[in-house]
Amino acid sequence: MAVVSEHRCESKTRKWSDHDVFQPKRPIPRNLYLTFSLTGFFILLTAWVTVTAAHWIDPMFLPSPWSILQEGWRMAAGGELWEHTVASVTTILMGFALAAVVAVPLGILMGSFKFVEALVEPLGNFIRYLPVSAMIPLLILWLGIGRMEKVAVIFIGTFFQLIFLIADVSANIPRDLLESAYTLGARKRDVVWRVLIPAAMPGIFDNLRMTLGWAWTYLIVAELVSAQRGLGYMILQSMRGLNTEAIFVGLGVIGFLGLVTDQSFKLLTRVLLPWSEKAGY
Amino acid sequence: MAEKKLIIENVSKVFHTPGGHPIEALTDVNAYVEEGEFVTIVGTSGCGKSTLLRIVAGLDAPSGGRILLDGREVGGPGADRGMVFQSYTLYEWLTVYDNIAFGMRLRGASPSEIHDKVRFLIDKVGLAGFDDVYPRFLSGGMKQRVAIARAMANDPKILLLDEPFGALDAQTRTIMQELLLQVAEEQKITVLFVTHDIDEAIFLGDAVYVMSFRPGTIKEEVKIDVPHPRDHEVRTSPFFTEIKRRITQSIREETLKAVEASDASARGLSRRGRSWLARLFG
Ligand SMILES: Nc1ncnc2c1ncn2[C@@H]1O[C@H](COP(=O)(O)OP(=O)(O)O)[C@@H](O)[C@H]1O
Ligand SMILES: [Mg+2]
Repeated sequence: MAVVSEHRCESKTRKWSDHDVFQPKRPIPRNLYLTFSLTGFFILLTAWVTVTAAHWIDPMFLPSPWSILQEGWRMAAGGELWEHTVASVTTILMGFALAAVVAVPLGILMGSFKFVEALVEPLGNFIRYLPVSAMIPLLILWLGIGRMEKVAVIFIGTFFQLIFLIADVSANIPRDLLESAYTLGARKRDVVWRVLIPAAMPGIFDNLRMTLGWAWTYLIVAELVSAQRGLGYMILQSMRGLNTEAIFVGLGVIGFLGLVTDQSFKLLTRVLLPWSEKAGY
Repeated sequence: MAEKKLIIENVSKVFHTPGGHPIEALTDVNAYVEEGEFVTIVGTSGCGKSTLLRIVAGLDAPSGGRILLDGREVGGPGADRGMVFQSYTLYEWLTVYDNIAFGMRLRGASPSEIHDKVRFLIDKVGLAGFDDVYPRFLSGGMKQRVAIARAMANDPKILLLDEPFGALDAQTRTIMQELLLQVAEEQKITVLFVTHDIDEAIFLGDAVYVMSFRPGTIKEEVKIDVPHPRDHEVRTSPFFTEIKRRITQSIREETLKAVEASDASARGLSRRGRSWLARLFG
């Protein structure tokens, strides 16, 4: 026995370091992670500042970060940035809320009852694979270029995706979960309200979060095509006026709002569904 | 002789799969459970244990035969037959307390009645202090303890368990078996327990039904004359070992049949696949 274990100790093994960043999948300390993240930003920013300060690129194509900040400040102070942002956010919320309110119940029904599936699926599939951008001209014809048209674009773009995603969530709820309720004395209605719907909630929230991200894309496309206000419109006007700084301001605001909505949804999940795996620890 | 609580009478079940041979999962199954008795059914995987238990629970209808509970034929699922599944079926959005109270709330029990019963059962299954915990924070063994308490909260006439400890590690499983047996002894509940684990079937059962594979039917019934309360030392007694040897032999024959059947169906599939390819390229 002793001989064997001695022999084992002699074999050539190198001690693994805790900070070996080159070992695949090895976790690294939090501070080190943060350092790398900041380094990424820093590299990009340095390159940007260098390129613009050295006048390697015409500021009309790539303005300096500083001039973009200045322009952003000017637009915010003048109230126009706020106006366009509010316009876009309101439109998104209207279109998306409308889509969600109809798609969530319909999706649940579709995933749970075969007859609803048969009723909705073929038609829905046709529209789902029709890019919503292709329908913008028709929607302008019907609804004009005002808010209603944008709301319709967002509704169509997200609604038909949502019903399928939510149908999938509800169809994938384990059969045993529903059947256990029957053996506890539940009737069909109890099973739907007390088991099926709560069990589907985390998946529904997840898909709402995802489609809300897409809604931004649809809105900006619609605003680029034709609009009187909104962030997409603002970007287009800035291009026409060769105000590249304002284009970057618009992009920054859109990215920031996307991040904020995504994070608020995560927060909402944590508050409303604290029991779910998705709420984190 | 005690009263027959549950009677499984000539039950058969045929599954019709689209485009395949009908599967005869159960053929003329006859069995019974007496009042206060703990009966186990042991059989190799795929022999029809879950199908049989689902029919008893009323979740599936038999193709032939019937189930009698207290002399009345069973039509659909109901709270008089509590069931514990192999998969975890706790309601994730309800705390341990509310999971256990689920059935009682459905039938409109009074809050004080619910409180007393749930508190009692939480203690019984050894989860005191976990009332307000959500299921995702529980280990597999704890989840199944809640599932057992949840089924018991309805005071069912019979408790049905389908390999409830199948997903647990071996050590936890034996502890869970002892806990279940203790609760069943104390509360004098009637139990029908299905498993592929021979040790488990003998340790828990007053009677063990051994199932055969294709036809899925009862092959033999073995009375386990070990008095209650039983403790873990029973597992190593000569009597236990002898019965285990016998049942192991019996099940082994069925398992060999099952392995052969699955080999044959794999061969059939691959042959079908090849001829399809041959037609395409040949
Ligand atoms: N819904 C179903 N449709 C078709 N075949 C089924 C269905 N449920 C079970 N079977 C078949 O019936 C047989 C018995 O299954 P099951 O009762 O789950 O066995 P066990 O629980 O003993 O492992 C298996 O061959 C299985 O493939
Ligand atoms: Mg099974």
